[in-house]
Amino acid sequence: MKSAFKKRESRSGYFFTLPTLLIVFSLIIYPLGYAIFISMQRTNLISEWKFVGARYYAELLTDAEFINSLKISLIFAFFVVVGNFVVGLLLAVILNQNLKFATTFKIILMLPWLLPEVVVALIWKWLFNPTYGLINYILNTVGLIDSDVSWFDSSTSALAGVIFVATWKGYPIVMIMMLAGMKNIPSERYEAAAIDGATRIQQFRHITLPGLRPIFLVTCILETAWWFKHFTVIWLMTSGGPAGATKVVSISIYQQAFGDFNFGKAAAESVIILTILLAASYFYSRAIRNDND
Amino acid sequence: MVGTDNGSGQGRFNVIARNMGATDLGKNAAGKYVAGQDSDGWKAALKLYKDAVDVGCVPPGQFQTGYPEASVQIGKGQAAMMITGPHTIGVALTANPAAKGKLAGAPIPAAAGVSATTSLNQSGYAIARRSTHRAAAIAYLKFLLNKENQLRINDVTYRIPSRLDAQADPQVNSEMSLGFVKAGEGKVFSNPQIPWYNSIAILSSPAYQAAIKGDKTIDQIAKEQAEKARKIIADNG
Repeated sequence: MKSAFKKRESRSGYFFTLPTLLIVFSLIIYPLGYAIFISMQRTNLISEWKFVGARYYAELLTDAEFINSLKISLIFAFFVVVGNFVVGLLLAVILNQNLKFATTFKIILMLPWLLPEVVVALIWKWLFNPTYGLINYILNTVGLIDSDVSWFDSSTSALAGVIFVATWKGYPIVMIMMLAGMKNIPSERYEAAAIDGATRIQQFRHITLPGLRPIFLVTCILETAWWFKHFTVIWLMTSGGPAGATKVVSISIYQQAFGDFNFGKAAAESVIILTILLAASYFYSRAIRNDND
Repeated sequence: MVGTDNGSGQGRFNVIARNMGATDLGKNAAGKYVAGQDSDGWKAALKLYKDAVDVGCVPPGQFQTGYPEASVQIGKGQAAMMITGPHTIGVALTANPAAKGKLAGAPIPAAAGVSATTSLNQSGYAIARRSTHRAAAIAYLKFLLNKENQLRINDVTYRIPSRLDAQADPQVNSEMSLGFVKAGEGKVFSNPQIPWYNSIAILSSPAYQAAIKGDKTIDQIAKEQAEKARKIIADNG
């Protein structure tokens, strides 16, 4: 009697988890499996399907251009994430000071995040345009330059330019996360520190930063994954140029798939990126777990 | 100069290279595909791009100058020449109506011993056999293709009409677009009609950007791109 009840109960359990399992399977497991399947095929996704095994993986891991794309992605993601944290944290600290009109400032500072990436990229592309851009016009007017500057013509300035624009677009979410974290730090800690004679900088270093650590780690995972595979701003501003100087992996994948129509290799690149991001997430998660312990 | 790393820049470079005597993907006597990226003509085209920037006859920011930016430069008088088709006259005049009568087309000059050539971009339409509104689609195409409307479209866009009787109209043969009409009447090339041609075409834009940047020699760039092209041919040809 008891075992029949248990059986029924376990069947109901499966029944209730079925919708979630179906959604997870159709939205995550199946597309991932399909990408891995395609990465082992030479295919145009219509009529040509030829199994090539791990050929594309082997090619990619020895391909200097792909390795260089990975390097550029790492540099881009690193500086954007650091930039977002520096700007976001700084603004969060300022907004946390109970200023007058803090809500208005918050809304204004959130605007870059609210704008679509396409709009942000095109606005900055126009601002940086050497012949009719506002930046050259202003610098010319105040006499800082005497001829039009091509901001994106060198490899370094092009990469720095897209990092700057991505940081401008991305800092608000970090700012809001940090601000939310700061609001959760009990004010008693600051009061006690003040009584003990701690300066504002000491309070920030010994109370605010440790208090933000869990949020910092979670935001770091999200930010790294987001910017490592970023496409839109770079594609619209430089298309990966000049001569591949800003060709991050997502642009390489796009060009493989829709320029070269080599969907198998593009899928193999995507799987490699997925693996890298999974490894990064694992280390971050371990850091969070250690933190909680 | 349209120096962006995209199809727009690649197509224009291809025309220049062809007029230098290079074919990015040709066929040898045995009918096998061969790469032309390390040919003298291709190298000459790369050198032309580099020289044009080095001597300062290209507006700054060539790597970000795509078709829309270049058309505006023409319209605003910031650039004097552009490798393009007649439709750019329409775009330039939209940016600057005062430029009317001041723009003209001319065939691209070819290197010594090479016949001048150009490409034609045709806009085609098709009606699906199972189309539920076949009659309406046919009527619409007839509307687009009647002579009067072809000339109306030409008047605004400067695109050359597809109807021969409309092409013969004095409006189409105005001073502004006559050069384009003449170029189209000469030798015309078309790219190989094979599914993997785009893999070859996209090799040109990183090449001309690298040539302009000058980090590598033109010989190095040409060699690298030719090796890539040969690999693509071996994989597909």
